[in-house]
Amino acid sequence: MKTSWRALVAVALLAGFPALVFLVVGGLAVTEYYFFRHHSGILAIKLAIVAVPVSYALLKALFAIERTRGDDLPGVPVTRADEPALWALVEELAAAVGTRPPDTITLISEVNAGVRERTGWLGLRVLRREMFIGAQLLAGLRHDQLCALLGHELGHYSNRDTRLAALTYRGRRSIERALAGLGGDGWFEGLVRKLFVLYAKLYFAVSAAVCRRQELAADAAAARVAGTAAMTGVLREVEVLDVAWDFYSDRYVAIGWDAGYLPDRLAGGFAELLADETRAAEFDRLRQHPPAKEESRYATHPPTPDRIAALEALPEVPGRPGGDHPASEVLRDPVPTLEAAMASDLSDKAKLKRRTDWNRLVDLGVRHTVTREAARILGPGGTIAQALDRIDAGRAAELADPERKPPSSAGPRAQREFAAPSVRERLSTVVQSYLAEAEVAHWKLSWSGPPEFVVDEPYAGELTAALDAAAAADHDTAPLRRLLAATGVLPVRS
Amino acid sequence: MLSLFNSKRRKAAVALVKAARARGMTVEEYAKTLSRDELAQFVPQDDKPKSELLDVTRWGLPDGKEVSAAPFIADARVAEAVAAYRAGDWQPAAALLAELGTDWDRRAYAVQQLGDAAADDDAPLKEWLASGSVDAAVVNAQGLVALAWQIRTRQTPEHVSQEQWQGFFRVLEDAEAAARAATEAAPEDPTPWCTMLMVARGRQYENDDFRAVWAELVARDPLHRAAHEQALQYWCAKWFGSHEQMFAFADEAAAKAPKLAGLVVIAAHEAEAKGVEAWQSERTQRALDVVVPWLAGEGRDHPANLRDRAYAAKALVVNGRCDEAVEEFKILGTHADALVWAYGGKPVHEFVKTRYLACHGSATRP
Repeated sequence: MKTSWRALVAVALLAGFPALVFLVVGGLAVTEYYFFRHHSGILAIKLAIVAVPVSYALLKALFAIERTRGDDLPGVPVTRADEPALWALVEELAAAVGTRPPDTITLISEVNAGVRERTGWLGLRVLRREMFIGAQLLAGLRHDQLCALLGHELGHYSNRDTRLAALTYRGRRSIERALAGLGGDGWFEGLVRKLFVLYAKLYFAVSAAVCRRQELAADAAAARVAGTAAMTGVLREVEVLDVAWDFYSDRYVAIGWDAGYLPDRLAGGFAELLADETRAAEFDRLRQHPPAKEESRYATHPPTPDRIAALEALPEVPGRPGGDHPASEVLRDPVPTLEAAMASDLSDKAKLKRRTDWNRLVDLGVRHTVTREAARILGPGGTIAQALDRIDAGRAAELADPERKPPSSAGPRAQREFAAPSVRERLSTVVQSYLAEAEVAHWKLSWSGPPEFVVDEPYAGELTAALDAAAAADHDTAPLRRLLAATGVLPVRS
Repeated sequence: MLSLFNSKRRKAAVALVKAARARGMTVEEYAKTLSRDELAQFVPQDDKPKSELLDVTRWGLPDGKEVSAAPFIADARVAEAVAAYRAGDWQPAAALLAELGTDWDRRAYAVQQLGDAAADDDAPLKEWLASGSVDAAVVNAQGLVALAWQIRTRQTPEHVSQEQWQGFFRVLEDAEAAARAATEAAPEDPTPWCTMLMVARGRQYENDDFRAVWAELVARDPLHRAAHEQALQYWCAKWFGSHEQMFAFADEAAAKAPKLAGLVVIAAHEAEAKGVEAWQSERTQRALDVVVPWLAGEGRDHPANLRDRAYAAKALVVNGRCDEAVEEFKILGTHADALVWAYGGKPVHEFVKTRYLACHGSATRP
């Protein structure tokens, strides 16, 4: 069989790695000995200065192979008693692809799923089978897509990919580590580094080819048990969920980070984002037109379009009944379970943040950012009253972003005109912070777009026009002053 | 590095170093203590220029130090009105425009100059506008166009920042609205349509949309000089035309009236600026034969006179007609403000250099 042939080459290359290390380190040791015996000690010391760090880095990387045991992923382990339906599904799918079910299932916080075998004797003996399922996938996939996903991972077991895969994967990590350890600053380290880069390229290319074949075989196995459409569907869906989760983490979860807050419902928020009509339409566009990715020849997975094409070339397998239910229904109590899984990999720093509900989080988060930005715009000790006075004195340009410089040849009117948009933007930020401080405005969460600045009536209707007038090249701060006086931000003029 | 000099220079330099060392000074310090003549003793005689530079003042031209690229308004009435405007008084400008009436070329020139002033300071303009004057509306539109270009600058596009482009287009939108309003307030007047031609270029009108504006203009004044200059710019390769379209436009204009013949020379300069040889062509020569007599005759007082004269002077020099060129430079005097000098970025230098070549090539040696 071709796969095992290539896998053997990969293993052989991995076995060659220690040989290469010993060869280099041994050669250095012999040279060192020779210098000490037959030449000056100074020369030997000079050589030692370069040889010792290189040998150390190489030997450290070599022994790391044996020590590597696969890092423990943070997650929530679920037993048969915890999630009987999930276990039943996994066991049923395992039987269908013709393999033994895993010994443990762990829900993790990732847009990914995977299987792993703890092996001994260089992969010849299986100690324990582990399965990992990303909570984000359970939150976003359909039931039939979940089946396809689990079928794919179990397919890796039945193909016995996982036996050597662990070793292959570990080999990749060890070689990466050896390369990271070699500085490559001096000419000598550079030379050794080049040697290992060459070796790594060869090894990665061979092992990546093995991995890709294994992926296609697992895809085919999954399609047989879950249906072709479900398997192609999950391939596309995982990419969409990946983008969605990144977007969610970046724009929503982190919104109150600087203010010291995180949302109390991680999974709940993600579900709401996915369910939002506007966002759903955006994700749908992504599904129709997936962004083109650059494929590396060392990638472990074939490009998704290739995988889909390979599946569609096989005879079509019909889907399972009830496949359009949400995947999370397989959990006994989805909401707290997904929540616990997604919160399981929060960093220590994140654990120190206070947790609050989404509406409050968005208001506190944006308020913090805007207040800080307003302080930066006004300068140390600056107030909005001073800013308005400056506009009245015809010095509005001082409020503009100093990074945006007008052309030096521009006259005063052109400079004012050039500065106007920046003045408008920054004045708006300052006014927002003051209105929020006066408790007549807040920021409202929106799953469809950025947070919305909401001003209480009757001020809301006047704000835009007042800002426009104040920031225009022909400035008029009177409407804005009136509004700010009415809200108590500025004292009422007598 | 001394070997780079010839032996005479080396000896002189060594002598200077020795003299400085004998006084315990560095060469720089010692050199500072010397008078011009004393220092000259250390300079070998044969380093002086072999030929004397021509002194252009002997041809009756002003000294090179007096040449300036500052904008110059030859028409005293316009200059006075602009000066008064810049001092805060719009009344003389209003009186001037009223007086000029339907002398469209002169009106366009005055509006252009007042527009430039308004782009620097719009305070007097606001008062003038408040009086409900139609002329003020016409100046306002032109002022906004000038303002937009101040933000954009005359740099080539790659040297214009994102924020400058945004400002340029934003102000041009205002300018377009103002120009439309002015055309409605003064339906007979071609001047706001001339402004509109500049807006059309800045706002990147398609050829057909531009032609529609052009049609409105020529319906009011088929021989409008400033508008022809604007349209020529639009048909340049660097804007929205090509060399062929530009020359076709210039030829057609030149055939209509002598006062438009200068466009052919301007077109030649635009082509040369893009690396296409056009100065030494039969077309340029033919145009010069019309332009030069026009400058001295019928076009003596025309607002485009000094501009055409500058272009003609340059073209005459390149074509070896240096005696004629010297005559044009006599009238240009110290004013190097025409665009023909500005494209290289050093207008005064270009002006002085061309003038020198004119004298150098002239048959007379005063």
